[in-house]
Amino acid sequence: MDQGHLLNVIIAGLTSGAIYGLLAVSYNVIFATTGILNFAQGEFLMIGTVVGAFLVVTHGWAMLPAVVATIALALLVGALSERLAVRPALSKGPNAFGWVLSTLGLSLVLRSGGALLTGNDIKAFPTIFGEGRWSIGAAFITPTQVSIILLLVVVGGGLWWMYGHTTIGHAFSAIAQDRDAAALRGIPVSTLGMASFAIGASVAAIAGFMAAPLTSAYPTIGLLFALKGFIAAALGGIPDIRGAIVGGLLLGLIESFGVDIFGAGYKDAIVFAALILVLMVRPQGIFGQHSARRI
Amino acid sequence: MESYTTYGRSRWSKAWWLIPAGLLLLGPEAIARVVTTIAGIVTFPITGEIGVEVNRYEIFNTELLMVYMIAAVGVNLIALPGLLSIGQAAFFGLGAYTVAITTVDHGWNFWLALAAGAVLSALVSVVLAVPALRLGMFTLAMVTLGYGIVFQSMALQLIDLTHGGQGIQGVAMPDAFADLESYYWLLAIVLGLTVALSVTVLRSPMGRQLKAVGSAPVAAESIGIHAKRGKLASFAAAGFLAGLAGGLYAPLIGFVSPESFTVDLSILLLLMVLLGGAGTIVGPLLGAVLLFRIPIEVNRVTDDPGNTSLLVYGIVLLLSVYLFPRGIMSLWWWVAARIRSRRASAVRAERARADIAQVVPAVETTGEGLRVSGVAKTLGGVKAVQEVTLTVAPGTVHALIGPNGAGKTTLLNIISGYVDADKGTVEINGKVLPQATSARARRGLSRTFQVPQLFDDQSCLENILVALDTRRRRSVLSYALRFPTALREERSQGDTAMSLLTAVGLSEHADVAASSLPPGERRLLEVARVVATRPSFVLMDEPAAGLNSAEIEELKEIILVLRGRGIGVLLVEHHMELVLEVSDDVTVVEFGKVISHGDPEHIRNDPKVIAAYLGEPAGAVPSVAARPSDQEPA
Repeated sequence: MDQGHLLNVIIAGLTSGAIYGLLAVSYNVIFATTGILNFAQGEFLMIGTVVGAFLVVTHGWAMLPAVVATIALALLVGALSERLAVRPALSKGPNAFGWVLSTLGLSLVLRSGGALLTGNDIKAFPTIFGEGRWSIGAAFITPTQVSIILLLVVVGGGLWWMYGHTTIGHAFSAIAQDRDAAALRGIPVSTLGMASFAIGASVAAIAGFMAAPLTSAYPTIGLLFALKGFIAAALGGIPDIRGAIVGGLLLGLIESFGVDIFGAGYKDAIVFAALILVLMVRPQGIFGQHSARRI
Repeated sequence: MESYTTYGRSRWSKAWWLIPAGLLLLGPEAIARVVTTIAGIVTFPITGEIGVEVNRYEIFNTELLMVYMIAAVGVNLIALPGLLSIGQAAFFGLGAYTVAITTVDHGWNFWLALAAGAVLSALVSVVLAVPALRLGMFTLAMVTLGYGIVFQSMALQLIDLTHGGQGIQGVAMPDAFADLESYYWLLAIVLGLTVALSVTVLRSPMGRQLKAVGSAPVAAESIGIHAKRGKLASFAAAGFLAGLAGGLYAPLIGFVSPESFTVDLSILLLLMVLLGGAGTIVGPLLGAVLLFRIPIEVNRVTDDPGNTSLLVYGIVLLLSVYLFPRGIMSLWWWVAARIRSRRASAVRAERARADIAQVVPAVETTGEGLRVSGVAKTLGGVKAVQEVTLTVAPGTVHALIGPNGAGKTTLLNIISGYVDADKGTVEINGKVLPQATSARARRGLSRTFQVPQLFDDQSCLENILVALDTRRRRSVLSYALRFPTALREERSQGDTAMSLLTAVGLSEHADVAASSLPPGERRLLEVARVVATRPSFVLMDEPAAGLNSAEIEELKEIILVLRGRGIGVLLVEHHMELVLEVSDDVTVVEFGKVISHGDPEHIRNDPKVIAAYLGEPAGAVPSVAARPSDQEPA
């Protein structure tokens, strides 16, 4: 293949990979403090695209107030999700399935809520940073693509820095390592669990908002991204933030090259094959530790 | 929960599930009336009416519901060992497509096609589960979700095989069941057999083991259950049932297309089980009735049926987490427990207290015993265990003591196979043990845990039975067919389990869920479970922690009985009085190294031990005995 084509495939891969990476980051943020993998994670992304389209397209809001309102809503929905759906399930005794029931229920409520609010149709979403494109040799990159990749770098990098260098980050890490011990040392475990849901939801929602010019907005968008975000997280090693970033970009590239070689009809199958392969070769993921079993 | 004191005895109270199964004999109209009434009661606040006119459409709906029930019973088997699938719709679709492609395009016989679809589906289940089971429940859930999405996109993509989005038309019902009325009877037979299979598995030793794997995987392995094999078997069985249901679905609808096998259907099947009550017999069936019918009832009064029913599903689920997180059937247990507690006191008084000595079988005392040689392990840069060598002779108690963080628990974990040693060997009577914990348990090496690991969802009696089950001789099939030999074995196991419970003073709690026991009794139950595995060697990790003085006396008695019956005991304990009273041998470790070894008298006076423990010279019993043993890092 010629160089321009190759570069275009890479740019497309990095762009979708950045969305997967952001979703993987949001999975990990929530998993680290609550110990659950949230089945409704894709719906937080859906909120970003659908509510964004509802404000911008249907009601003609400007981008900036729309994105602020969307993030605010996601923070609220995330925090409420933890408080109303997840915490009661985790507190109801030794039932491994409680949180599955409640996060699946949550995803159905959010998805149907989005559909009832805005309708089932697919809405096109205008570009946020203009229609132009820059040429890199024989290839092109659009401001939308650049903004999505930058978003992953800023949000993922920022969270990684926060986990390593701030008091609240250390508190999150402490909970991730040993929930009970963290609680005994006075870390407000359930408040931080709620905070992590709010952060995770807003990361997914802003990813959805920024990606909307490429993906368009529709209420069932969450499911596929939920799966691919999880695969990216698994690839990188749950719950490592660096792993989520690298895993996302890698998955995007695999998908992009796979589609280029086998055709778009096999897109999902290629991604899925990547997951199975990772599970067979390196089940703990790229950055995952092969954790000693807890007795 | 069900009453467990009736183990193995044929009681009509155990055959109540024949009532729903028998209902199937009433025929399609009656069943349609029953299910619409059940769902109507629930949706009455929304719709204001109960029950509908039973016409052909409702009979068709009822048959569709029966097809989903077959698949839901399979999902229930997956949930038993604590797993989830969000891809059952695709296994269902695999069965449906197999029947459609082979009968329509290739002229196969329906029955052959049905069987082929079910078997193919089971095989694909195994292929997916093998890599996924290396990680936890969520990974399997995501792998099955991925399979579900890929199945749909492949059904669209492989046009030559599947006819793409247009689907395959004209799938016919088999000759003997060629119309809606008679097709009901085929479904009734298959559903009846499926329920019978589910009853058999849930009530069999295998079901108990799967449940144990679900509630405490570590403990399950410690008593010799091969957790992975059980999970794989349940996953394959679920795949088979989903494929079978799909194969029956295709002729009922008459055509198949990719849109019929969505992830939403997978989630629906999963929710039927979780809402009704995972691990129960009736739960999945009841869950299926409600989740299948509720949208149909609600749709009578709404404009946007699809999204409204999703919203209703979601709300039902979120509410169920508050109202009955363990499924609707848990309400029934709650009622049953209230009724039973009123009746039970009279029965209890009859039971004689068994002597612990009579329930512990004697074991061979020839051979060198359990030998640990040159074992070393580095954990996170710390040399947790360094070149430890010790021997537990049969019929002796060997105490392993040392300050917190000395590496005692790590050593125990290496011996029982949870942790791989960097070097060194563990052998019994000169034979090196296999690595897997469950394999070691089957060689007669059993253990208790610092924090007791019980099968919390199961009754105390079942906790013991699960351990006894690993030594059963009768096959699962002989249980399924209720052979007299199998029933006799079940009865005698039940009696043994009961006398073990009696021996540790827990007979009154036989039917009570293990989760409701106070800490001291949890520990005694765990010890009784260890005895039930018929071990030659027992590892005990701080068994006296959290016991009151009467319970410690009981524990001491048990340890001495074990020793008297030829069992070797390796005892990690901080309670010095107990250690010095029961031990034949004591090994003292500090910073992962053996610093002293000898009989209790020698240890008591060894200046190195006194220094390690107290940092000061002391006389008789070291006062560490009084110190509460807190947890040490593994």
